[in-house]
Amino acid sequence: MNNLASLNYFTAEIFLSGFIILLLVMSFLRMDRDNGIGFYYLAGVFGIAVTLILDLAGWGESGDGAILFYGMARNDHLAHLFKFLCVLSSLILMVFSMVSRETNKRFDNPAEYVLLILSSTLGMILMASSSNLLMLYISLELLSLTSYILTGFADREEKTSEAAVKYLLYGGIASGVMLYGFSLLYGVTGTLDYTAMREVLWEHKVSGMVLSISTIMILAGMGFKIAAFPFHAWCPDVYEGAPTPFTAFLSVGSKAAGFVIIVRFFFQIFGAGDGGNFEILGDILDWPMAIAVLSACTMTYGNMAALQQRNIKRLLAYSSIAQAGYVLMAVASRSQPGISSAFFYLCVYFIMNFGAFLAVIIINNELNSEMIEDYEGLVWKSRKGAFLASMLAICLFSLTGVPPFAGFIGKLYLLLSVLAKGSSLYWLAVIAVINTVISFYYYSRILRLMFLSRRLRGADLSKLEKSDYLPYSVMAGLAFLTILLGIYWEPLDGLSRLAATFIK
Amino acid sequence: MEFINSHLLSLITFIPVIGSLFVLAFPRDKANLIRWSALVITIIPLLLALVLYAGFDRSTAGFSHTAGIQFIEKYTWIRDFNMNFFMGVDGLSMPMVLLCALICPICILASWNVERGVKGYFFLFLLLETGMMGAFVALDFFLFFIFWEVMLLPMYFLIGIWGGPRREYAAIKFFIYTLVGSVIILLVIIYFYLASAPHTFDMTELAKNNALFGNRMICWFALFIGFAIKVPIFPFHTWLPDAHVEAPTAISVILAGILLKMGTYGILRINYTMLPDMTAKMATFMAVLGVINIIYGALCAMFQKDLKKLVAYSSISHMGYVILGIASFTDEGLNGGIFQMFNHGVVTAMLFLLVGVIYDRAHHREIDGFGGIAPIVPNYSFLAFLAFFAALGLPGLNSFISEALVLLGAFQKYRILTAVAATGAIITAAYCLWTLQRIFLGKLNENYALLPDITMTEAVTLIPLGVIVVTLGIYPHPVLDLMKPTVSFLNNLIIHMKL
Repeated sequence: MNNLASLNYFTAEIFLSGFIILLLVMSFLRMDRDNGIGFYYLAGVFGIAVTLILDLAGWGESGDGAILFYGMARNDHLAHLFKFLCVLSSLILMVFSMVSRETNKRFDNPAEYVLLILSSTLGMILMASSSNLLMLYISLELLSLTSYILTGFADREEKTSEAAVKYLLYGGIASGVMLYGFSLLYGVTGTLDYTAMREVLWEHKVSGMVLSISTIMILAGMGFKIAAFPFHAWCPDVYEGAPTPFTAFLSVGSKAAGFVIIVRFFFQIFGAGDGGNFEILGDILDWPMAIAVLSACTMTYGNMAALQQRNIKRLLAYSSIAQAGYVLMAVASRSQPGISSAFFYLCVYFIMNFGAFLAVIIINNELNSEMIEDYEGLVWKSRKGAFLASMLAICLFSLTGVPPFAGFIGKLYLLLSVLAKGSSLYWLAVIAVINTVISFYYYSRILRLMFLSRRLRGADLSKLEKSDYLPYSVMAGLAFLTILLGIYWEPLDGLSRLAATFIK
Repeated sequence: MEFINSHLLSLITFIPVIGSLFVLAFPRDKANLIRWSALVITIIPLLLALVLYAGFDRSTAGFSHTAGIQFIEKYTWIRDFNMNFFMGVDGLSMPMVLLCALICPICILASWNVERGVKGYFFLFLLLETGMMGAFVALDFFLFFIFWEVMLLPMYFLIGIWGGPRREYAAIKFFIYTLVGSVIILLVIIYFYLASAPHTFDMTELAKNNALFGNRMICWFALFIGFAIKVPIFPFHTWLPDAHVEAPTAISVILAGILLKMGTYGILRINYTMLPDMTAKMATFMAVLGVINIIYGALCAMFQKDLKKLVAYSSISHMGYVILGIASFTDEGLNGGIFQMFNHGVVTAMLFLLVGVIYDRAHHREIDGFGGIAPIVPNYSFLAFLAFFAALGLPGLNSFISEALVLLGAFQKYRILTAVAATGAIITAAYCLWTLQRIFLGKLNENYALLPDITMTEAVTLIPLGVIVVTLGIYPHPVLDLMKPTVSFLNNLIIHMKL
């Protein structure tokens, strides 16, 4: 489709870019920065909400699988579903930022904060639809660069700066490696476009060696984004150092964006075949097996490392590494149900992980501590404590994958797609369920301190105030969704089936 | 009335969880209101279970997987995965539903003295009841699994928050053990679903089309281990003494009285119908494990100093009879095994309640710390003697009938094993009598000269169980008749596999 016609399908992105520029200009003009806090947050929420609506409207009229800008982007269900997820997670990030003490009062420059969030949103939604290596790289960098800054934004202590620098260095190397992979791939296929690349691989024989090396390099770059083992080393430090709302965002939104590029790259280029029968295209290493091994290592490493964490943000960081491992399992199954279940799990993960982080944010506001031992006796402190502890418990049980919570249904989908692949992946399913048990052990440490312990530690909780209504109702909503999707999930199932339709 | 009759099972299952939300809505300082409403909420399922019992058709013959299943409720749940909300009772689940409905109100009464976090306690308890009921009546494998796990969560908190000194350790041990079992079962559920054509979670369909499943030996063992952890069968029993001892009285009663039966129920419901050929092959293996359970449990019980631990180990021993009975594939053995599940539920509930009564007064459970208290607390002593005599299988009390049936059935197949198992009965008699002697007879320990006898509330919890113990000991047909058609169907299934 030519550029002009493509613009019709690009309204959300255009609006968001325009809005970012508008806000940028306004932030220069507006000098009274002290009372501008609420304004910029509200403007940001408005911008994201309109983007979301435009995106949904565009979804309705989209010709499925339309190719935009001469193959730069694809307008299909997968793109829209992930855009939806990413934009929603930005929205949640805005809400969390308003709630958290770390981010809502301290800045003297909220405009920049909001602008950076909006820019990273733009990066994510471009990632979701990009089907060209160049486009992919640019959108990925847009997300990454804004993430580096946001990590170090609330420059309150040493570990924040350390986290930002670490993230920047790791990220720089990872994208360099990935870029090298891109250039190798370009070298053997002569194109950057996914569809064209696939045709080349279909028709010509290309060097398997170069193809494999470039794929591994690209996988490294993408694995960095989703914090898969062994590209995870940045993750715990960054999660610990970054402002908690942004940590939550990194663990959900940015991770979902990472998954969509993995799915697109591997399935659109190498996953050729007819009628759901995916033969591996090209003389390349067995990439599904490589991802399966990666998945097994990621979940096992994440869970093992989480066992010893004492800081709740670090613990959730390692747990999110493990969760990424579970999702990779579905990618490794190399099938349509696999993609659906990956999307399904990411949606569920979105709800439960944001729920867990919101609880951490609120508790952090109250106790002024991120250490797990300060959670001791939380449930007995007051009604507020009982509420927070119960909500966090729901999210943690869901993250473990115990019925009747949504996390269990997500895991069920993942296991279904893996076991449906036949005996070649049984081992992966077994590793996944063993990991489920291990993961309960460290989640239960938090539960044990909050519920089972009879000592009270940490600060006392404040009385319920009017400003508490927003975070508490969001919290209750997320917990309610976690339970609801664990009992009845057919609508979400329908949506996630759409995600796999891009494979014809 | 029409609605109640046609939705009896879902009402029994879901009234507790709906009630639990009411309990949650009550103000937390109104402890008595919460207690009374919890009691009322658990009595409703009991009444409905009695309606169910009255309406249960005992004569259903016919030999297909769906015959004998009554009060069926089936609704589409998740269409794309062919998951159904499918409930029904047959001769296997009916006694369990009765048992569960009976034990729950008694446990609420036994929890009357819970002071800490009353609201949370009764909320979790009611949630637990829904999980247990649901697991017994679910006929969709997936639904079954959901309920199976729903039991787990409240249990973790009930042991962990309201338990004894080592409650944290006991709770996590219980949860991890059971979680391991469940995830193994989950893998098999998914495997069966994918192997069946068309894909289904319907237990009766899966049983009918079980020839489609491959890797049968692995599946059988996976399921067996998953359920064996719950029973618990040696060597998966180590969570049990910890959990039982640390749990508060009412929760020990639930654990021993109902949760343990979940394991044997699962073996009968899943292993027997879905993998009958493997079950037939592994019969001797199961029987050996059953005998090990009987002897090992009894020996361990004999050497306990803590009264509650003694009762806990006696549970392991008594569940061994169930395993031995169902592994014999004779009508007597199977009937005896299932009847033993019911009887053990009643007897062990009584024993744990009795332990709770004396612990509330003496604040310790050392068997040797008492002595000669029978004249001081005559009513208590009477009930304790009744319960311990039932546990050792005295003729005229209910356990005698089930244990005799088990041994009768097993003897036709495994002569030596049964002979060994019978010595277990002697050890059981030994530790029961020895315990009675040390606590109630002999020289009075002066510390307990003023021990108060049982209160009204405690009597209300204990006497109904005592009545059942005696009645079923004399006239077991009310329960035995329920299960006969199902038992002979199950038995035929396996016997035909052998030929």
